[in-house]
Amino acid sequence: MTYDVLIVGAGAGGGVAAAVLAESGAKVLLLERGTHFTYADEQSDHLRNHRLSQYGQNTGPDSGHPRVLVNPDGSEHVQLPHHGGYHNNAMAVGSSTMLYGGQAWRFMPDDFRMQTRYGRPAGSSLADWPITYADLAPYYERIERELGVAGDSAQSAERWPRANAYPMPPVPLTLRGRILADAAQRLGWHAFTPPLLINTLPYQNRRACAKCGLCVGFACPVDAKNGTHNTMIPRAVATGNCTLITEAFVLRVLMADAHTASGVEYVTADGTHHVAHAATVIISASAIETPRLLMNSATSTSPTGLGNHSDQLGRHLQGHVYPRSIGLMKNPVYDGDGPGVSIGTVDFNHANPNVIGGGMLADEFITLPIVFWKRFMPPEVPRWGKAAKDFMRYAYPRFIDITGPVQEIPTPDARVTLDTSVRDRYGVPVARLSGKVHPESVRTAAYMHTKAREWLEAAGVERQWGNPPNPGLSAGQHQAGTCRMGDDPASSVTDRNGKIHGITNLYVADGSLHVTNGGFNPVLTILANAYRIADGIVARGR
Amino acid sequence: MFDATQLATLRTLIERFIPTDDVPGGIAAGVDTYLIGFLQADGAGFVLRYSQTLTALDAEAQLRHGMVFSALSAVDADGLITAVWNNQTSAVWLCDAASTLALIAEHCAEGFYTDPRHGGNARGTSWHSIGFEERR
Ligand SMILES: Cc1cc2nc3c(=O)[nH]c(=O)nc-3n(C[C@H](O)[C@H](O)[C@H](O)COP(=O)(O)OP(=O)(O)OC[C@H]3O[C@@H](n4cnc5c(N)ncnc54)[C@H](O)[C@@H]3O)c2cc1C
Ligand code: SF4
Repeated sequence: MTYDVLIVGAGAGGGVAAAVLAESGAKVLLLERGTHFTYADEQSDHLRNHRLSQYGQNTGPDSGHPRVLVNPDGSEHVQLPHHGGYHNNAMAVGSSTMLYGGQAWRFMPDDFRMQTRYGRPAGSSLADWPITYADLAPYYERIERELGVAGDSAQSAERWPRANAYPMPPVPLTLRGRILADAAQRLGWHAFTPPLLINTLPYQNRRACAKCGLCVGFACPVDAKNGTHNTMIPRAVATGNCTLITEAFVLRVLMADAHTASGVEYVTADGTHHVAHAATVIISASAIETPRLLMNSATSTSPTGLGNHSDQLGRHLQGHVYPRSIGLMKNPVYDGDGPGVSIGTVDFNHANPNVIGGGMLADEFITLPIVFWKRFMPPEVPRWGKAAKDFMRYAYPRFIDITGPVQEIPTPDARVTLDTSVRDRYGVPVARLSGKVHPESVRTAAYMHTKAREWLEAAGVERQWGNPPNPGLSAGQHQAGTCRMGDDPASSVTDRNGKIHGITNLYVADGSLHVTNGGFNPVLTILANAYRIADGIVARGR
Repeated sequence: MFDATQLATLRTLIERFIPTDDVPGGIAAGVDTYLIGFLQADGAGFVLRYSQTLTALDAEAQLRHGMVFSALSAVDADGLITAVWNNQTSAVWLCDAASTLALIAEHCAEGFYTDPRHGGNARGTSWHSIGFEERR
């Protein structure tokens, strides 16, 4: 059978596209390499989750799907999915949206015109999006309503032009949040509760958040976390128009001719190879796997990959650098109420002196005790003996940490290519990740780190620690940018509609499209942009 | 995996890394059980280093105090660990002493501070002591 639309990847972007297209009457085939992972499968394993994947993950590719990381010093390492250098997202129906933290930020109007506002620093590929905030605003509204976002509508409306209120009120302030709210007021900063894709009231026949202690990185015990797995994908399937096949790994896109995709070849868990045909093909495999798939689909007319007509495919890989400061209060400040994030500021996303862009700062999701031990203990505290045990007891209830995503200045050298020697279990060349963040991203992160420190200082911490970040490559859970949209085919992979230049019916709808990645967690923008792209496909009659 | 002397050394090391005070220590919380399970599964690649370290710790104890590590007083054991952690070794070490002790300390913390079903945080001992609750 030939489908109207075939979508690769049932994550954030793919899940939304499936619903919009299936509800328009299109016959949709949605192929996902992961399974239907649910809370019943969730082991709540503190060492094997998407917050700390020390020895594995709750859901993710197995070791038959490695990647290769090239460090800035040129050394190369094969990475398994639970290694940090793999830059993993989840792999399931809903992908990371079924276990994320659900911070639901819109990008700001200036995030779509970074080059216009700041120029293009040497060595960077900072550019404007081909669309504006106004183009995306109606789709942000739809996502907020159709998935369910809890947020502070009045505060949001002061910064983002918006037509309607959030459908649910924000999560309540935690004890830490109240302390930080007072501190922000003393500093003259504006702080408010971050919008979250979490039910604060029963919504769409699902329950409100039970304030458990494990939110980000884990499935929700009461199904109060809103992702595509419990909203858009069930909606798509309920139309009767969408066939979802799980454990279906897409190997390559098939082309009828140089300008027309005809479908894909995929392999199912039993090792059987299949071919599926469709009039329109959409790739939503996330910002590392999408360019990999397009490169592995090379033809004689596109010898280095579909969409690589101007050597842009796979470049501009970016995520978010996270500065973090950790402080100790005199008295306990931990109340155990999940999700834990309850206050943030967007005062420093733009208009900062002598730095480009900026970022959002907020308190953190509840920290796993072992994560505190591994990552948050100050360097001078011994890692063993009574001193270590005493410090955990004293500090865990008293610490506050401030962190947040810094808008990165993309560089063409941070990129995904194909590795020529390492192959996955199906014999397909794996993704090779190389490059490092632009020095301007490091400078902005250092500036944001001073703001995190100021906030903790005002909160009255007795001491604080944590250095500004200076990572190698940045991508990870906020990976983006590798199939950038643009009006000029010479500097972009897709057009403003997400359609690959030069191919009439092959689209991308995921984080790969982001020209820049905002100073915010990216998922609301990925979801809204996928809605816009799918809506466009419907409007143009597919 | 380990002989009886090595096991005794390991148990002593665990108790020095996470000592008992008003809160149960590593042994009472089951970190030894956790580590044995870990070394048979995800930690299998570490067994040789553990074995070399346990033997070398005993040799250090013999050289310094004339007895096995597990017979040392808490103060002497802590003093020996501190010295080795600072790379002040006298015995033959077949692996890097300081980094291996740090690695074992981290594995002990992984047992003690994570979910009780792994066996190293019996009855949620460590979580009660720091106030953490899963609530699910
Ligand atoms: C622990 C965690 C917490 C997060 N918290 C937040 C947050 O609070 N706020 C926020 O904004 N963002 C958050 N994110 C990030 C957010 O989830 C991602 O940005 C988003 O899911 C990316 O969307 P996407 O459509 O680009 O890709 P994904 O959602 O990753 O979807 C890609 C899908 O394609 C599938 N796939 C890949 N290759 C193939 C193939 N060859 N064949 C078939 N299927 C394939 C994958 O299995 C996956 O399901 C978090 C992520 C994680 C992991
Ligand atoms: S904190 Fe709330 S939304 Fe998050 S996993 Fe727990 S119950 Fe679900």
